[in-house]
Amino acid sequence: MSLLEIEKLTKEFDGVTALQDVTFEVAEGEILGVIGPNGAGKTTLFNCISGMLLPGRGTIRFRGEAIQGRKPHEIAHRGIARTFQIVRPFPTLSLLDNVLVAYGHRHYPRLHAATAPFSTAETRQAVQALLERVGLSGGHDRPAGTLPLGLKKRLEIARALALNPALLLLDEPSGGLRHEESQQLLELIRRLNQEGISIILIEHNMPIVMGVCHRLVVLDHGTKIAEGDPAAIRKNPQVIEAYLGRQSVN
Amino acid sequence: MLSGYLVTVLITIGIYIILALSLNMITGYAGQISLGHAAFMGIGAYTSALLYTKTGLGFWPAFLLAGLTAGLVGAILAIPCLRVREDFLAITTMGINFVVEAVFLYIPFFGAGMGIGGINPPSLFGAEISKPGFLVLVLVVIGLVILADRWLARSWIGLAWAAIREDEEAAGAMGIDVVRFKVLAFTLGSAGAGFAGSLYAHFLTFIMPVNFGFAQSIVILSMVVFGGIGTLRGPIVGAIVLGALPEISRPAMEYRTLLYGVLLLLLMRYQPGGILGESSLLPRAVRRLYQAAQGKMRNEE
Repeated sequence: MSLLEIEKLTKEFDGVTALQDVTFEVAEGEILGVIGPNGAGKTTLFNCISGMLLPGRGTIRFRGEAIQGRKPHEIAHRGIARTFQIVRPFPTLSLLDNVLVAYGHRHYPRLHAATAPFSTAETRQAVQALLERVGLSGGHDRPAGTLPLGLKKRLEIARALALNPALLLLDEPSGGLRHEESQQLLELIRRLNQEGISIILIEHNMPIVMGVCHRLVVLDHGTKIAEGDPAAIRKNPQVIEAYLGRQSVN
Repeated sequence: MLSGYLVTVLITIGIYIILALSLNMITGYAGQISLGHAAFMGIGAYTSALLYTKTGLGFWPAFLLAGLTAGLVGAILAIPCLRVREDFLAITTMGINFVVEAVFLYIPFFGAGMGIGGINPPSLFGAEISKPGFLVLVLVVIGLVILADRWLARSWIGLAWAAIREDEEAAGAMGIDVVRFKVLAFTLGSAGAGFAGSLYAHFLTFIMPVNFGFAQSIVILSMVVFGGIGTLRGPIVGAIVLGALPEISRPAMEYRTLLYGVLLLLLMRYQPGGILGESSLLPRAVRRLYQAAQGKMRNEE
């Protein structure tokens, strides 16, 4: 049984088909890259997995349990965490508080636990460790909105890690980053995977995709057009045509 | 000691402080706009009044039931409220206010236009408490509300509310059951308004539907916004200033709602965080003065 099984996932918006019969699996411990031209349905796919969208048809199975249609907080509790394509940390909350929000997921469901104070020495220590793990070593009390883009992206990853996920969905984590920042991100992704977290990565940055992904799934106009290891995908004529065969507006 | 008039003003301000703090929980902490807070004040007031006059129940149990009833109704009404899109929440809460007021106005059981009278002040140890005594009661309730407020703000509930206020989609993705926490905010805030309503009823000794209409909701919201939404000090200061204002500006009494409307507009334009909000002019100036004084002291050492 794979960690995540997507079967015939279909989603339509007002007559536009965002996803059509998409089927693939994610094995435990792998880094799967989801690539494709803009508008291919990659973020829609993430939104369906994380519960922000209800698919029209199809199933999503996580550790054997069907999760399509469940609410986002239920999916977070089951061990799937995500970052967002347009980074969105809670702007006026500090870095610490941002990660504490996710760290509190174990306390929210039971009212009695939820009345306990959230900022204790113990919780702050745990969250500081998470921030250091993604390379954010100082300024933990700054409002998150004042961070530069690269650090905001790391903060979102720290926040996602606070959910103690088995599966991490990263939506274009290198978007807007300079080359060295992308390299550092690559290292972080590799490290997290070595620590046991399975990862699905949406990316446009080909060096990162080729450098870190074990396998790739290629989407175009909502359908899966190819699947396989990076070397093979690179030479796949359909994939090449999908990327070069039309004007893609970035 | 304190003149009777002054005590009356202080009690009125005190009741408004409770109303402003409870609305702040819904609108300031959880970020859900509510233009119908006075409806729950009314539910609390009428519950207390009806229990007292029709069943002979004493003030203390009536007071408790007033808050609980208002909270329960708040919880029930929160469900349809949360189904509407964010921008419609303002209109929905406004609509609730008008419906509740209409229920009090047109259904004979609630005394219709004449309202309910004969709501005596509370008794302690067999004797009716005096006006200064009532002020002490109001201050005690304010103290309890502030304690509850601080406790919630420091808890995981308060953090969940803050996350919902900033970005409710991201909050959901981080494991927060957004609907449940919004309903909790509405419930607690409405209960607070209910307790304030009960105090109001037993202080004035008679209540009428018009006391709990939309205009009253705007007054309460003005206090929260003027003072500094989302902080503890803001609603308190807002209630004190805007509660004392009518007394200071008696000649302009009829224009009170207009004045508050203009005040809100000016605030939104120049000090959207309120007079004492997080990043507002006054607290920033005070902080700068404080830092300058500290620096001067250090230089002199």
